[in-house]
Amino acid sequence: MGAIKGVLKEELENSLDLVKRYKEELAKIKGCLIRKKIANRYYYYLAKRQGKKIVFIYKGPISEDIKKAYLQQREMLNKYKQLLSKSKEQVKFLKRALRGKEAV
Amino acid sequence: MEKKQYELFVEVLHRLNRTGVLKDLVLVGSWCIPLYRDYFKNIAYTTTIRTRDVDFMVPGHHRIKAKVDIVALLKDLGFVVGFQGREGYIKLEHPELAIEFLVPEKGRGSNKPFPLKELGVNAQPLRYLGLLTQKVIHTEIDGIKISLPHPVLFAFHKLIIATLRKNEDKAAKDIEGALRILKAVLDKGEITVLKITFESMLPAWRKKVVQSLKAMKEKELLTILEQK
Repeated sequence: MGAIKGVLKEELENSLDLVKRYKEELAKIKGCLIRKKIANRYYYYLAKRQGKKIVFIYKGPISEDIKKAYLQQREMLNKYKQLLSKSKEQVKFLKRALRGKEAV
Repeated sequence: MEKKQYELFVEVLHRLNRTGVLKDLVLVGSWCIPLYRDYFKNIAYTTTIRTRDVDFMVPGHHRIKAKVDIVALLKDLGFVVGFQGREGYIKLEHPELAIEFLVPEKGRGSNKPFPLKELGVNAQPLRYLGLLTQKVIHTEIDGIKISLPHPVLFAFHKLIIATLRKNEDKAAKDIEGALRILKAVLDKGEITVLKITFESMLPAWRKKVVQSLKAMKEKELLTILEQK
């Protein structure tokens, strides 16, 4: 049974490390590009969090390539958020499994 | 989760295959165990627990012709770069899988990561890894051909490294996996392969295999291997 416990312990360490990595990756992503419609025209802003506030920084006219890059970044942001939550769930599950009264 | 993990594993293989890198890699580690199912298809073969770790061995990095940025290749799947240990071996991590690259340690050995410039990552040099490439078998997953060490070599390698492990749980897992495979080899009637492979190994390595088997009181296997 030691083998299973060993695997769980190793997985817990890995999952904790993964949570840290995803948080680092999320911190690297600085804001999302958003579009606002003002008087029938579209304007692009970079929305980012500064402490408790969300600030909108006007980006001026932007090219299609930049728009595409921000879109990809947004997709990655969503993906990382999803995977971070999954990693946290794994940590919770593994901690619970290792804390069990029966020898695992 | 199991299904998702397998699907992700297959997607990684597809991407490595498309870039032409996969043919120069040998899959080693616990993921080999379920993939040996094909080799043992005519006998009862059950697989053991496997971790998230997918280990690829690079037997000859100079053979890799394609220049591929593995990190970029797998980024959109959600893999992030992690560094293992004080030495900083690169590990591509995901909640379902963790991919590592390994190279056989040569000479006096060093703990330094081995740079794989062709792949944009580094690899961990490990002793005894060369044993795994003495005989390689191929299997197919979703139409992709992948290389695996021969099951007997895989099992002997596990028995050797079990003697070096400081972590008893890991050693127990290694031995458990190795014995399961060796018993499947016996069930398949490949005693000759077992003996020939054992005799082809260095005496010091054979000693380590015997040491592990003695610790597990595996009389049947010991008798077969020690028979002249």
